[in-house]
Amino acid sequence: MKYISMILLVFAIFIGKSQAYQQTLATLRGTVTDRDGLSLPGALIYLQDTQYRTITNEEGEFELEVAGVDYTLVVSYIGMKTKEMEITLPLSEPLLIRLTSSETELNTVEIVSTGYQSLPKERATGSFSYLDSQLVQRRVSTSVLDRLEDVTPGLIFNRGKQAVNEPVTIRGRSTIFSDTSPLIIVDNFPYDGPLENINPNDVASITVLKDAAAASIWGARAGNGVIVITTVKGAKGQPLKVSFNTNVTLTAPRDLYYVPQMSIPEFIGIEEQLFSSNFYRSLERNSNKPSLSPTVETLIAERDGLLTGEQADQLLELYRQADLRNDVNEYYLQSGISQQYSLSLSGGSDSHAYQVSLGYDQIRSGIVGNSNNRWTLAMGDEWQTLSDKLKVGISLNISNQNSLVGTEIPGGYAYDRLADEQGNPLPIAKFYSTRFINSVSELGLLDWEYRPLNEIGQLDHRTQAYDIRVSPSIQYSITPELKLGVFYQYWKNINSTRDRDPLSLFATRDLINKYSQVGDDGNYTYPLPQGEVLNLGQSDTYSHTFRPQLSFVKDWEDTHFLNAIAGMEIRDLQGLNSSTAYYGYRDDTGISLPVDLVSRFPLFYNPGQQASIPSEDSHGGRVDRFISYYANVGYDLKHRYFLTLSARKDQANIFGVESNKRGVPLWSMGAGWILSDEKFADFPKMPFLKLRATYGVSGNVDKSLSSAVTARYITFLPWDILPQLTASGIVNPPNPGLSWEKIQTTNLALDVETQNGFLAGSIEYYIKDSRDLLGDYSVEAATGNTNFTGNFAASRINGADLSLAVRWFRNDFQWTSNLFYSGVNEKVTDFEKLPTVSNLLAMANTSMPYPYAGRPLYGIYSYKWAGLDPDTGDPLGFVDGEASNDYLAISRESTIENLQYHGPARPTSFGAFRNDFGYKGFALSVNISYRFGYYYSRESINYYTLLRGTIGHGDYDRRWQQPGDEEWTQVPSLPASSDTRRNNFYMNSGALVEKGDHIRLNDVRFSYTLSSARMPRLPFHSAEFYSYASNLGILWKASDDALDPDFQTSRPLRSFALGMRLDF
Amino acid sequence: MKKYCIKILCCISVLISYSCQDYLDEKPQKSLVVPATVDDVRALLDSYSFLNANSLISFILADDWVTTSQNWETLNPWEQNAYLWKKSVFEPNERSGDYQSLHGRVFYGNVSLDILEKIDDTSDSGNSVLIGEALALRARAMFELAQLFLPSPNSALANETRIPVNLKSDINATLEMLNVYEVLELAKADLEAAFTRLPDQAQYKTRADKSVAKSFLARIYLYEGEWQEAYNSAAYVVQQKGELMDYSTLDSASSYPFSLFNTETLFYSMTSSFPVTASAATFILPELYSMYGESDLRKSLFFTLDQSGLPLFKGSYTGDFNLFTGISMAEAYLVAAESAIRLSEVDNGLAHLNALGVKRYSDFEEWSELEEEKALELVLEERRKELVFRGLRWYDMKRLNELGLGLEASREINGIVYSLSSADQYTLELPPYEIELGNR
Repeated sequence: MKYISMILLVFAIFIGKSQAYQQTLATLRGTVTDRDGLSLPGALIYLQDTQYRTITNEEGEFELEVAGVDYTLVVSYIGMKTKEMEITLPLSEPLLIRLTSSETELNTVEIVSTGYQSLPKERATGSFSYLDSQLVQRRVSTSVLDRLEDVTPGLIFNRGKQAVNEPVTIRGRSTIFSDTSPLIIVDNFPYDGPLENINPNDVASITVLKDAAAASIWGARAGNGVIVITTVKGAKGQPLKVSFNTNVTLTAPRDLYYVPQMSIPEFIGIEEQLFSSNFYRSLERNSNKPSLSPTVETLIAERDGLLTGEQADQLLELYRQADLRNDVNEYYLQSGISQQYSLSLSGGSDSHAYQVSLGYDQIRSGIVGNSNNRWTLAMGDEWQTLSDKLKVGISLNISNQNSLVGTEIPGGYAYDRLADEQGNPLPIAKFYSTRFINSVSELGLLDWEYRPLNEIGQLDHRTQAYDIRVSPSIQYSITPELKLGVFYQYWKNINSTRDRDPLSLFATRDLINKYSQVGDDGNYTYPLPQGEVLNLGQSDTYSHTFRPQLSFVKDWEDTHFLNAIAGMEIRDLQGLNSSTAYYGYRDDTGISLPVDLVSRFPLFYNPGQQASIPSEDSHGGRVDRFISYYANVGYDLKHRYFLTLSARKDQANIFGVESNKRGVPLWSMGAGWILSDEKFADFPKMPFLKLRATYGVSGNVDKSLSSAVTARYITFLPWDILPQLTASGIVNPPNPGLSWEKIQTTNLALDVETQNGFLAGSIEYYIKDSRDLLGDYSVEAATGNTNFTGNFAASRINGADLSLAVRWFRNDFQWTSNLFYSGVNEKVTDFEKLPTVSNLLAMANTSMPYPYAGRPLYGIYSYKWAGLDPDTGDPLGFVDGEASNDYLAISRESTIENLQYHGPARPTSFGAFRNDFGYKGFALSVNISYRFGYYYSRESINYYTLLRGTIGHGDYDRRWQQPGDEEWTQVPSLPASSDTRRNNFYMNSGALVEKGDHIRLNDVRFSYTLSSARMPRLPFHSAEFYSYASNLGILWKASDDALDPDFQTSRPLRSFALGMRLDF
Repeated sequence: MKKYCIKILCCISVLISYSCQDYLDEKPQKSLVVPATVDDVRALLDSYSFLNANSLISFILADDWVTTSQNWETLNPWEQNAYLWKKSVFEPNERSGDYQSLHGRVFYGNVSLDILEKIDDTSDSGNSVLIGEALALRARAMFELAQLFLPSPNSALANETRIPVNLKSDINATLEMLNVYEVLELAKADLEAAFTRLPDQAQYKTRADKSVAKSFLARIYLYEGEWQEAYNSAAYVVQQKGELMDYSTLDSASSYPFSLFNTETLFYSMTSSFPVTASAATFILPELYSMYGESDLRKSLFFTLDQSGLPLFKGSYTGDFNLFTGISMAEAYLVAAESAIRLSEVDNGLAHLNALGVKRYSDFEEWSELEEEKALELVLEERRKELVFRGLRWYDMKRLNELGLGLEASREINGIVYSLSSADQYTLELPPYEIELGNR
């Protein structure tokens, strides 16, 4: 900005001096881009010693009607070297001006894209995080979203249970019940398909919009932030550019031993004990013939005299040595390998720009026999005619994904053996007891044994997905200032699954056997024919989005600059899906047989159980419609003061709601001020300083809710008695008071950059106040419901995002450090309904938040822990301040006030520290991330399930066994009998709560680049050879827990990639 | 050109605004409806898998069955407590599935009635029948709540205990705290109103008809000791339907001798929880089993012996392991017989009992010439033997206890004997968690 102001000053001096009259007018046209061909909107263009001047538009284009012949054209842009060039008019073709970044400025210019418009960051007032192509391409992965991880201030990837419904959170969760996912915009349109369909190699930049401006631009769906993905485009006048990128990534196999498991001999001991106390008696006689573990079956056989004591002991000894995990490891797991290829071509003539890219990804899964692949094709063309007044563009994106699941990892008892010593497949019990399976082996049924190893690669589950986007656009300049644009996008996604279960699978044979009937004559009939089962599913979704928009850009004497857009958007998204199953299918002839889906048949394993043949038929459909109106005005005074205003109204087809409640108005305003350009700040070495602020109001609603009663039609299950009836269930009780959630967001920011570019950074502070938050709360069952969703809470999130870049060295050796820190403090400020004790305790194990005033939405609560009883090893809590093992009293006397509150369940401080080193083409980038200020509840031994015959956690081996053990362990003793209250107390006690704070070495990237700039004889422009390693481990953590705080159920898998990128 | 474009844009906007409401009226999901039509209510009331499932706890409390200590250990804590007739059955933070679903059924009734009220009565003939079904549904659930959580209307404690009941479809409504008299009055009023609207014969046995409404009325009157009313209601059912199955024609060797929707089934309901109702350790009380004589066809049709010679139940009218707890024709005969005898019309009572007995015994000799007291003993014994595992035993225990029949029920677990001896054991405490949520 300094540059521009300086130039303006110089410029002012010359005004009036050169008034050379010419007879003819010529049009001077051109485009300004950066080195990579990204257009630069808002660049200042002027002819030296004249008053001809203009500013480039959104696409970086400019146009001047000039009288005269020879001029010196000057192009300047903040962060770029000012370029001067001699021109002679008229020109034979439009100019293509490439600016290179100025050495003295650190940041290359950042063009933030809001999706509706692109603007230089200097003119922005809102909160944007911008990832340039280099940062996007730093990571090697097949997913786009991954690329944002640990490089975007304010954006966190949730882990564990928190991640289930909410993989990514931007600046805290401002809703309880409603959709929490950020809105994804791909090339100016909201993208509803799966993100896997977008090839990250096609991405030029990503902008994350974080404040109220996001919602007022993008509407109600943007309340959780917006991720704007811009793909690579061709540029006019650019010579053909070919780029090829390939890499291969190796991912470590899954670690089955990660979560500790109690020792198998100990577990067999427990089973023997349970057996001797007759625990298995009723299961043994259960008419459903449920499976029992090999130990129990052996003990039954021994008891019934079918095995001698010696034989039984031998078998038990064999089981003690076995471990299912070893077999799964040996036969099922492998390293994952993914390969990526991408080729792109781009270029343009004076009136046409084009870009084509082709990508192919091939992934070998970590499970033997499973794989998937993806093809992507992206094409974009843009033409300009009618003296560049009319611009027509079209882009086409196609992706095709195929996945094959050939193998599923078998579940079984902890010491089931999948193969004998010779490697021959062994049967294991699944669903039914070994006794039952043996008793029917001679009957006229299909083999009813389950031999997992025979099923490797036997599944034939295929999914095929096509995703197509076509986006034509027309823009017409009515006057130089006023432009009409009509944008349209058609999107279609077809996802089809074809799951063929051949007879080699236990599941298929089981289904057929289950329904087999024996007649009085002893003959068998098969209501479910003896053939394969074929499940077909199809889902078809499309959307039309239509957006007419007027834009107005005018600049008065370079002191006032106005940029306004207004338009409307109509969107119609519809989807249909259906699925069905065919029985008695033969793949070779393509024939299936009809079955009776209405009659109920006694099941073979238990004639007391009757069921109809499962109808897999289902049909679904959805319609999402929106109509929105929006306007957005940016005003710029002297390139020093900025003002933005935007407003939008969204209406949607919300169900069962009065039409006047369907819409929500959203608005925001913002201001910016470049402090360092003021006269009072005019002293040497004054760093660039800019203040920004925005404020806005947005809303959010859950479309599944309704103020009227809603009901959902249900499909009956096989064991229901009248499958021919149509029934429905109430989903939502009436809620006449339902209203939109309201979110007010304030954002204050300061941007700083030293003149020599040594240090640059920004700090942002924000407050999000949410009112009328929709949430689920427990209501007394006497109302007829157990939970109710209503507007009942308010919350405040405040926090700060800090980002800092220091360029230590900028010579042959370069070293840059990037640090970001995000602090987020979520607090419930008001609520109408108190949570219950069990609500609060449940938060450690579910992803459902229960608001409690003064606390964060997600908190970790526990029963206060008083250690172990030194005499019995019982876990102790508090009753009336005294240590006690009266668990009923502990839970009775617990209140939401006296539960122990540990702290938030989500990180309150997080960030990353990235160091990039460069030396003569070598580059090394190391990213370290950190998360602080949160708690989690770890797993431990569950004695209740253990004493019901389920193997437990490895903490069992560290349990209290004799007085004195309480000195070194917190794991209670094994109780004499299964005691739910004791177990519930321990599972919810403070003994299991850990601090989550940790620092992690995320990834390392090392590369070497050969560039024609250094070696002119190279046949290509540049070639980069890179390697990338991720999930390298934890550097420090606060807790002693052996497991990774963020990965409690499975280890984050290390991966290593090698790749090459060639640019011609 | 400029003006032209703006005009077009304006026109488009205006056009869209006009058609906008229709455009936004489309419902977001196919399977989702705002129920508003007769068909929608029909579908709601046909959710038989929820609405026709009775509470498990009534089964557990009934003294018709016993289990082993080992099997008792495998039950859920509340099931263990109920088995031992503890006063506080539910854990402090536990929700009771039975309690929830009973109130949920009342709620389905309320919602259905609300919708039907808004539909013009004259336009649709199905409307009135559905109102009848919704009323019967609500009454059934309220009566079941009364049997579990309120004292018997003849108990000295009857006035003291109240439970919350929601009589509106608004879940934010202030709940009425009702005592047993109020609940039973509401249930009877609903059933009487339902009776006038329901058809003589419903298309499916999962739906109520006139006889079903009368059968439930008979149950309530019997519970209250209103013998004449009970008799009238039961006699109506006997007169309208009355068909009984001849048990001698059934195959006792079959693993499940009865078939679903058999001719004796008036109304289908069931109770099921595999580990409790159908486990291999859910034994018939041996004393009860010994009451069936050799000529009693029910002995081999209802029961089977396990490997150790202990009796297990197989006589469900569902034809499978799920317990039939709906209304059977035999119940009407038994209610008519009992009420008649209690009204001192012994012969009339025995006539009803004989009508049933002839279908149940292989060499049946009519009962006649009995004293009133003997006749009553007989009818109660026949009632117990006929309605075993039908979800009616807890109801009978509770009402017979009030009639001073001196029930002596006890169960032994791990060597300790638990008995049902005090009056307050007959009324379950509300789940404490519900009291916490309701701030009561």
